[in-house]
Amino acid sequence: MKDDRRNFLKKSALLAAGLSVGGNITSAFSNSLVQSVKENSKVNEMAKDAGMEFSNAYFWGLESQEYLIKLAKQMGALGAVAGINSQMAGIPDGRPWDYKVIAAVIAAYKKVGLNYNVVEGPPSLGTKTKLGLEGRDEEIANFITFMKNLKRAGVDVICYNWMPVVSWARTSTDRPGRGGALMTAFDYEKIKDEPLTEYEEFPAEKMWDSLEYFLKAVVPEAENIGMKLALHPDDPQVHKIQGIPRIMNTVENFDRMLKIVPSDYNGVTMCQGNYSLMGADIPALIRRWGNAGKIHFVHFRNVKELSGQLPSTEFTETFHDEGDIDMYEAMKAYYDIGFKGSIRPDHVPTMAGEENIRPGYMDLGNLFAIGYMRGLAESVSKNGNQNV
Amino acid sequence: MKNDRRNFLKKSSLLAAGITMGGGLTSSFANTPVQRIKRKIELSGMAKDAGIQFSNAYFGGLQNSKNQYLVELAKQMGALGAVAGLSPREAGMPDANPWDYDVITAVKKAYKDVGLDYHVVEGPPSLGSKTKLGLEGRDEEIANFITFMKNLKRADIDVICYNWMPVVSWARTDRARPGRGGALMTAFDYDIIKDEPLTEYGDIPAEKLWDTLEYFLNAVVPEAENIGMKLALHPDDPQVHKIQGIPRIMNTVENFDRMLKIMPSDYNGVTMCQGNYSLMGADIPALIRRWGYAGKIHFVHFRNVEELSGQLPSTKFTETFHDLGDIDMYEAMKAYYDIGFEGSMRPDHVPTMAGEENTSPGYMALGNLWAIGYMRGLAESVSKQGRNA
Repeated sequence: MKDDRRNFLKKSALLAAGLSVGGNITSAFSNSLVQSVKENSKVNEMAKDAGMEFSNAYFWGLESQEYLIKLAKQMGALGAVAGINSQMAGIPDGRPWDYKVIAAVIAAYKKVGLNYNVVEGPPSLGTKTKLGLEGRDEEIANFITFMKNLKRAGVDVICYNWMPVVSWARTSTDRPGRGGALMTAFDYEKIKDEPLTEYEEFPAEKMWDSLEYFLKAVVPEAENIGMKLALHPDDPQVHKIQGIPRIMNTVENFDRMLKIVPSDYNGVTMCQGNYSLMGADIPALIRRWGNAGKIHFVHFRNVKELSGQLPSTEFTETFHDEGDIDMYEAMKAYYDIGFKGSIRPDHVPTMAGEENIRPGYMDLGNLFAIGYMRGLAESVSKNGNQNV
Repeated sequence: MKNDRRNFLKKSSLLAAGITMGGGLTSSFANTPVQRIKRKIELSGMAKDAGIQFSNAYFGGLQNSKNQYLVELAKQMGALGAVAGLSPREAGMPDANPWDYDVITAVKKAYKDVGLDYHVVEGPPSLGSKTKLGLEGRDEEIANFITFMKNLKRADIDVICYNWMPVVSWARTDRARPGRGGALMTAFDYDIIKDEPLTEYGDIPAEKLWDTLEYFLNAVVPEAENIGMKLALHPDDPQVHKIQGIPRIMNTVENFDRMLKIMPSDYNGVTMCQGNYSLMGADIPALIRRWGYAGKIHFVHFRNVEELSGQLPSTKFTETFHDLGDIDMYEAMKAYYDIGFEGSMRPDHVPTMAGEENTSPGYMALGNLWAIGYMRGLAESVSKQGRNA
């Protein structure tokens, strides 16, 4: 499909080039001009979003986020990323890995006009597996069932993480940014003295063991059915919080993880913010992992490092167009590696007129971010085709 | 930080001033397109928004609550340009003349106080039917316009976007046409209004408007040149030949070329309202380059449209989201970058989106949030691509 699109674009570019040098366009050409204008629209359609599926996250459910759904359809960003739970499916007795629960959730999204394309936060993967505790084998078996049923239902990407007990963390959810919009931010200093959890000081090597155990169990199954696992980095990417270690917090550790069970189906979520805060050059990392086929899902966000050290211990999230990452080069890299999967804006500022009830996940920041992403994607795909 | 960039720009322009280039350019600016282009290449991606000032329109003024909301969003988007009309009432001086210096500075200060930079007047208050139809009293109108220009320039506003549509101005026949996701578009169908009655002025010949336009340009362009005020004539919207007996002459590219020749001057220029020229059949990126390299584009309405009538100039069309529509917006932005455009650019008409009441069709806030995001992505891309050229 990509080649066909490239040929079509080439033809239209030649047509447009002929018209461009003309200068004074008279009505004698009116029919062919109207024609070329129509073709231009088709060109625009085919290059849409550089072949990627622009998506939004609906973690709070279709009712709570009804407004975002309306905006998303007006933006023309129809991808949906969310968890799966029995309540969402309207089957309270069901288990989240049951086929009928999964199918019901996907159908509910389809009914409102969205295409559910990635599970983010698989329901059947918890602390037992991540810390290597008793009961992990049952969790892993349920995860395998979940994968199979998910693939049957038409979804082929799972975004998961290796953060047991203490998950996504921010120390500020209303840091004023551009024009007074509210950003999410983190400062390790503020939480470094928080007490240990019930698991005390947990050794990092134990988490590597449990990760290896998990990958060896599930990756072969994922390969059998074609399910793409997309491991998300630890956010924040510090070394430890409340005694729980964070091992997926450097690029080197990710490279180590990828080698444990090398497979096209053992991949990563390119969460730009995290890897940038680890010190990675994002466009270069996209190319390295992307050309190796490891990127299955993208969180296209921007951040500003504030601590002066890596991995960063203090940072703020920003509007997409004003952080440390070269978002143009990043989008260009996704296009160059041929990424065609789901990509979502991830964390956005809360803007004027909004109550900050879902920090990082309010609606208007997504409207701005997707607009920006559309401009970048259109530019990289049209420029990419001109150079062919 | 902005001053550093401006100083950088100034230094680069002094550097570039020594550079000449042969062939084909008809601009006599000290700040020529070539110099601007070289400056752009030097800045190569450092210039925010490709050196263009992203702006929004605040018609109706800052007391309007919809505009107040847009001001807040604009500052969060980082789009600080303001385009508007100007009224004495807004300035808190209801008895003054709109061309008075005090009125102008008061309005400019009101925008500055909310964090915006007002430097394009769209809809000059002192230009009306008398001048456009050549009626008695036009000389006084024109004199007031000249005073207006001088006072504007003193107040550091150097672009006037005006039009040659007397009596019947901007027209749409549908202000709530459902588009993508149910957003509401503005649209026009000439068939719906073609039988509307004549105005009090009867059936006016098109040549009359050419006469009055020439009279106006002969009077004001030399004054504009003296002070450095950029006139930016906006095309007739819609670009049909006549509505209710009032002819529309600024409705084809040929007519614009004719207008530009009446008084050739760097200060006698155009508003590049993409939608209109596209509906006249123009290839927008090509037109941007042709007029742009000649230094004629002083202001941009960066919008998109979909032609529906099958003829040109279009008699039926709908406005669209910026990323849909007939115009190649990427190529257009690239053209603005290539010609070294550094002026004000606004999204113009946007769809009304979910959660909004359609009280100002084409001008509600959320469509602007979307459009400016999209424009920023395009502008960043073209300037960074230019860096590698």
